[in-house]
Amino acid sequence: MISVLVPSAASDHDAQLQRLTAAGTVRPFDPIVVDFIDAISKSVLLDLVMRRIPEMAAVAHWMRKAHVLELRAAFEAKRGQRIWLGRGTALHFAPANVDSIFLYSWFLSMLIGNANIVRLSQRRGEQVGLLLDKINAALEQEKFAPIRDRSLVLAYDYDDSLTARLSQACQVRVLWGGDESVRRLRSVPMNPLASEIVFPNRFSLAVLSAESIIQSTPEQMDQLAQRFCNDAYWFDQMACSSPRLVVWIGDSHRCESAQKFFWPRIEEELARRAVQYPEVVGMNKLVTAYVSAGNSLVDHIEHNPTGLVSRAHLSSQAGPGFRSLECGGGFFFERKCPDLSRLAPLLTERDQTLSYFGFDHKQLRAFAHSLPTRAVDRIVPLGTALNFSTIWDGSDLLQSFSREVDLQ
Amino acid sequence: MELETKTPQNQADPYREEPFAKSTRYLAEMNSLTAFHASHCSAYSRILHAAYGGKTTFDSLPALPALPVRLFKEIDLVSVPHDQVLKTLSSSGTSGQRPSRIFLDKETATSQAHALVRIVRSFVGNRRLPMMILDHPGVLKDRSAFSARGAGILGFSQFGADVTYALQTPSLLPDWLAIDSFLERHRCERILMFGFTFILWQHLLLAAEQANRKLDFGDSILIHGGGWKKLEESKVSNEEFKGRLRSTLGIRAIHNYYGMVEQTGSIFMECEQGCFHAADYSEILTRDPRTLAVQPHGAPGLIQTMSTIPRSYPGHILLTEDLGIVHGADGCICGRRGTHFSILGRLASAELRGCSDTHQVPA
Repeated sequence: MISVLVPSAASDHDAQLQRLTAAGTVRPFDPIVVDFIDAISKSVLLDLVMRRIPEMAAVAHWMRKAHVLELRAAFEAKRGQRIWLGRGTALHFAPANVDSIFLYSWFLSMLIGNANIVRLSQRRGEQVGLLLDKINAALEQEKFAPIRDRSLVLAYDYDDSLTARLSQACQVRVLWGGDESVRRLRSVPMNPLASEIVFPNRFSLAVLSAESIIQSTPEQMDQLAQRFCNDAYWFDQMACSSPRLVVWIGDSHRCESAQKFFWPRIEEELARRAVQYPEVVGMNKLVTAYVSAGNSLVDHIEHNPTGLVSRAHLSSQAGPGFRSLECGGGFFFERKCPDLSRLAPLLTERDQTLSYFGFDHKQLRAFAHSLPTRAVDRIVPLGTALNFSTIWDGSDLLQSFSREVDLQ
Repeated sequence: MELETKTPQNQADPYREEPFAKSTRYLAEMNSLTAFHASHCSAYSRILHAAYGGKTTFDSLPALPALPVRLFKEIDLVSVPHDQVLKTLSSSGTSGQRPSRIFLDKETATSQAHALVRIVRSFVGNRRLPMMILDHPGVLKDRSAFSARGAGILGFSQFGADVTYALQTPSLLPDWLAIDSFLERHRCERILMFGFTFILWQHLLLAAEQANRKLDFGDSILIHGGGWKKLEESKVSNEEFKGRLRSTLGIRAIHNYYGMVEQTGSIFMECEQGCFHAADYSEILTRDPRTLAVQPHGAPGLIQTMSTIPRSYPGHILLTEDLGIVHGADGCICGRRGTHFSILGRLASAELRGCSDTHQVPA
């Protein structure tokens, strides 16, 4: 079954597809696009239900005119006198795990001037529906007709022929999702002139300075706990950027003191937020912990792995394989490292976001230059792991969504 | 390391042990099995080291380390050299999941058979009764389906004579001719029946009701197992199940059993009062699913089953994903001693949506 979700007026996806390809691009950061995105931001912030959802509030904040104009300024600074235009039609496959990604992917491409087709997961969360309602309401205004004509959001079940048809119509294809679906989608041919941007499964970690944690005041610790919980628990630890490994930097003794200081604060913060998962999530964590121990990945499991915070200490001989154990719901591998430079060789191409606490930019810069091939795309302060940035997985999305006309 | 078997197998009745004596004996046996597996199964030993600091002696049954039963679907756990593995049992496994792999050596396979014989005989008597299997004979032939179901049929067939199948291969339609002539041959005899809960419900009872057939198995005893999940989905209670089997098929005594491929042999039989009973091979307790604290009698919790039988794999203490209530350590009015309990169903499954798939994985 194919359902057209946006625009609400178009029930026939084929007709809308034709309208959209015929419409072509608009200028980068066209005022009507900026106004439209700001209108969506306002309608989310005016919605009493949506503004209370942290994820939606973050999206609304990102969409504000002031922020979009910052994006434009950065874009223009980077572009200089060169000529950057939209590529044409962008086809986005949104991930199932993080509801807001489809919107970032779509709106960034819209800002650069592209027409957009967005395929949403059938497993999308309720928040997506709320957002789509706001978008459809705005698109009914006549002034936003240029955007209406350049937008198509659909949901459909497994259907390679439709994916192939859409892929023939696009100039850029954007794939977000698990390795399996990325592999499958990539096997569907697209317009030979189209380029492709891929965001497959990634792994993320938090790196904490034991010394800085120990020296934090209770108020600082409370803040730290909030930031860690935002990163790790907002999407049930299922976002690619949510930390699943916590690395403690310092000598062994200091690391242990810091752990004793840190984790109870996390449990308190979770209790304060009344986070609770279905009981079977606890069983998943118990199984993951025991599988890890049985496979020599882990040499110590903290008591009661079924709780909200489950911790398993990586053994010294553990290879990189623990990254594929996707459990979620607050399951953390832990590792101690005497200093940052010893951590770099342990990182792999699967590692995306490293969120840090207690290090200065000089240390982090030196560390970044020592990273192994392809490892780590983002190094961000703890608490901002989930913040969407136009630089994602190693490339600038605004640039990837556009093309350059070489004027000599 | 030699293991001493103290289970009082010389007694005919597996439900006679005095609870206090049992708890002392049972703790000693569990500790001894824990130490045995820790020194013979390296993966088990690594788990004990990671989660219990390598401890193998515990001072109470609740303190003993339980393995989540799903672990047997994820990793191979075996406590005997590979050349001693006689056969590998696998669970049917829900779709998309790897099945459990349970490695049996001769000794463990033999103990399983002995346990099953003692438990079942205490219900059906020592004499081999004419037996009807409420399934189709093809289950045993189909290699891919030869799992818990085939093993169950084979295991129970030993209690019967003139073993006759009630369903046809491969249609699973009732074999009325076979059933009628079986009843003809054994008029006025006590009859033993065995089947899987959902199969016999769906393919014999519902088929008989639809065909307007009324049968009378006379002085008969039915033993069935395999789980209520599918019947629960159709909102069929145990009372309704028994009632309709009685009225349509005329089966007199109906006993469900609770068991799993990970602890074959030491099954928990349902008594006349509708309670499952631990025999002297087995013990049971329930835990709070979030804290894993042991629940008091009468409070629902995750079922942990224990069995003295698993020797070739470390499956003597298992935390299941079934919910149940322990009613007491003794004193069921059916007259059997030992812990008795009810099953409430399975822990609800739930999926954190996860970074797994955009969409296009065919259903």
